[in-house]
Amino acid sequence: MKTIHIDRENISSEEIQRFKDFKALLGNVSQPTFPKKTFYRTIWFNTITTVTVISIALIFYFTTFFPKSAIKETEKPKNSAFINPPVKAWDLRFTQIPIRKLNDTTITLISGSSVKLPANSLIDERGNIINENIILKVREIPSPAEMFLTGIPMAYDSAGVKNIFESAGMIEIYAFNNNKPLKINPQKPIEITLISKDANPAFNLYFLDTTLRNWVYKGKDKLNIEQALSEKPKSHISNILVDSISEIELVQVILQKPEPPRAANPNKWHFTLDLIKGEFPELDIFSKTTFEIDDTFKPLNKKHTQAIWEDATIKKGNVPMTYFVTFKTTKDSCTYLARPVYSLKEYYVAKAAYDSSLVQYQNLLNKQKTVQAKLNKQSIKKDTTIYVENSQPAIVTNYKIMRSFEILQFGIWNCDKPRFVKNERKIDPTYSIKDTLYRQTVYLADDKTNSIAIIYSNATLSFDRKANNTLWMVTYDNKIAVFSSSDFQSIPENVYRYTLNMRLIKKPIETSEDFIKLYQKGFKE
Amino acid sequence: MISIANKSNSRIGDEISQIELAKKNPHHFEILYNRYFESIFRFIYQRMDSKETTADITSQVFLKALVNIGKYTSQGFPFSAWLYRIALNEISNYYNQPNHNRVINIESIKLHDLVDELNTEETEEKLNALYQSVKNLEPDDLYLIEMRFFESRSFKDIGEIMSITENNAKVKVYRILDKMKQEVSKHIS
Repeated sequence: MKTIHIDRENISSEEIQRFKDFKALLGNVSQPTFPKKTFYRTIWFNTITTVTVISIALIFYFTTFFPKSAIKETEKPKNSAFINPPVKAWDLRFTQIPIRKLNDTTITLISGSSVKLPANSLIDERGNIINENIILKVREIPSPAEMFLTGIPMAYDSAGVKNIFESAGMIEIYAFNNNKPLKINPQKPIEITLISKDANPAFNLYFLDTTLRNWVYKGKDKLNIEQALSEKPKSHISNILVDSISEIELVQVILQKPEPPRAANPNKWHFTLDLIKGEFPELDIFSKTTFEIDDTFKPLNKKHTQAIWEDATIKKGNVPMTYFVTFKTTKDSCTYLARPVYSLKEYYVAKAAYDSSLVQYQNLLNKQKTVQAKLNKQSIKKDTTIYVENSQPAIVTNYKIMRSFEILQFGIWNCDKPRFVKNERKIDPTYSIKDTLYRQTVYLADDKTNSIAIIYSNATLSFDRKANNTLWMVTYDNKIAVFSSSDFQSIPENVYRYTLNMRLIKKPIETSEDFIKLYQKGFKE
Repeated sequence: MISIANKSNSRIGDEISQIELAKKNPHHFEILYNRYFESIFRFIYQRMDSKETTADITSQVFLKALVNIGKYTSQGFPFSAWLYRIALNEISNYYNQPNHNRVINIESIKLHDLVDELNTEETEEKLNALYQSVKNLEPDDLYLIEMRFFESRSFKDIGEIMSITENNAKVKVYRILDKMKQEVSKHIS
C-alpha cells in the first residue's frame, strides 16, 4: 500500500541541521581505549581524579540543592507528527463502549478505573445535547509499555526547560455520535477516576494540548486510598467495627493512637526479614519487612554489615514499633535496635493510610469524649475494657489508590509530575545488535518512576544510575532489541562512549498485547 | 534540475583526496558528512512520512558509509552517488518490512511536468487516475519517476544513482511513462 502526500510542508535547512551530529557518528566507529594498570602512577591520573572528584562533588551539590536538573530529551522537530506511534500496527487499541441512552452513567473499565458521565453531559458541534447512541472510546496508558505503543510524548516543556513526566495514571477519551465527535457540556463535567500505583500526593493533572504541542497544567487530582476489599488487614476490620459499636461500647474502648510510618533513610543500613505471619501482628501489613538500624541505641559496626549471618531473632523494643534484632552465627552474634521502614514509594501509600487512620482515631477520640461526658452525667460506669488495635500503615497491595478529576474536554489526561534525576549519568551511546551498529531512536523506560524517554539517534543517553532502566529499539523489520536493567549495571564507570550490545527478541510481536506481555515479563522470552 | 555531480575536475580531485584521508582517519570524514548530509536527508525525507525516521535512516546511511569507506573505489561517479545508492538500499530495507507503507511526496507544481509528459489534461478524474498509476508502480520504477519528475534530476544523475547508464535511465523512464499513459487512459475509459 502506498500513500501520496500532495504539497507537504517543506523542511528548512536549519531544521535538517539539527539532526546533524558528526561526533556521535564518529563515536560509533571509534571506541576510546583506556589506559591499564600503570596509569594510576601518571600525572594524568592525578589530574583526572581531581577533576572527577570536583565534578562529582559539584554534581552532588547541584542535584541535592538544585533538584531542578531534569532529564533532557533530545529536541523534537516542531513540525513532526505530535503523537506518533512507533509501529502503527502496535498502536494501543481503544475500548469502544456503546451507550444507547445516557442517564447518569458510570462506566467501569477492566482495570477498575471509571468514567462517570452525567445525563446531558455531551453536546454536538452546534451545542445540542446528545443523550442517545453514543460511542465512548477510551484507552488507559498505565505503564511505559503503553506510553511507547501510543507514541504519546512524555516530554514537558516548561518555559524552555524540558522534563520527562513520570505518570501515576493516564487516559485518552473521546465520545462520538454517528461517527461525529462530541464535546463536553461545560455545565456537566465528566468525572474520571483512575486506578493508580502511586500514592505520592505530588502528582499534578495535565492535559495534552495537541495544538500547543505541550502538556498544559490543569491543577491537581483528588487522591483517594481505599482498602482493597479482598485484602483488608485485620486491624482495619477492627476499625470498621468501631464505627458501628454503640455509645456504651465506645467509652469502653481504649483507643490506640496509630504510629506514623517511617521512610527509609538511604544513608542507613537496612536488612530484610521474612517473618512468620502472626508472630508480630503489627508487622503483618508489610509484605517483606525492611528494618533500619537505629544507631542512637548502638552505633553500627560496619563489619557486621558485611558478615553472612546464619540466623536472626527478633524481640519487641520498649518503644512502639522498635525491635531488638539479634544476628547469629555459630561463632559470633550482635544485637541492634531496628525499626520497620518503607521504601519511598511505599511510604506515600503508608502515609496516606496513616493520615486517614489518624483522622479516624481523632474523630473516635472526640466522639468518645463527648459520649463519656454525656454518660458521666448519667452516672454510667465503664466496667470492661476492649482493646482495639489501630491500623498500622498499609502496604501498596492492600490498598486501592484512586485519582479522580473532572474534565471539560476530551483528549489525553495525565496525572503526572516532572521527573528529577538524582543520580544522572550520561554516555555517548552506540547501539549494536549481533555486531551490527545502529543509529536509531531508542526508548528508555524506568519502572520505578513509571516514565519513558525517547532518545533520538544522535543524542546522548542520560539515565539515572539507580533507576530500573530498560532500553529498547524497534528494528526496521519491527523486532525489538533490548538492553536490560542488569545490562545497565554492567556499564563500566569510567567510560563515556559505550556500545550497548542489545539482545534481539526473537518472538514476533504483532499486536500491542504481544508487546505489553513481553514488557511485563521484563522482555524475557 | 538537481545535480549530484561536482562539475569541476579540481573539485573531484579534492573530493578523492578527502576520501583517501577519511580512509586513514575517520575524523576526516566530517567534511564529506557536512557536504552531503542535507542532500541525503532530503532524498530520504522525500520518501518518508516522519522526520525522525528520516534522521534515523540518514544516520544509518552515513554510518554505513563511514564503516565501509575503506572499500570505496572511485569508478568515475561522484562520491555522492555512492551515498545515494546506500540511501536507496536503506529506504528499500525500510519499506520491505511489513506495516511500513510507502510514502510518495509530490509537489503539485512538479506534477505538471509529469502531466505534460503523459500528454494528458489536468482534470480531476485524470489526476486521480495518475495518482493511482503512480501508486501501482514497482519499487524501482517508482524511484525513477520520483527522481526524474518529483525531484527534477537529470538522467545522468539518475543513472549514477541507479548504477545504470544515462541512456538506459532515459529508456527506462520513457517505458514507465508509456505504461502509465496506458493505465491512465484505461482507468478513464
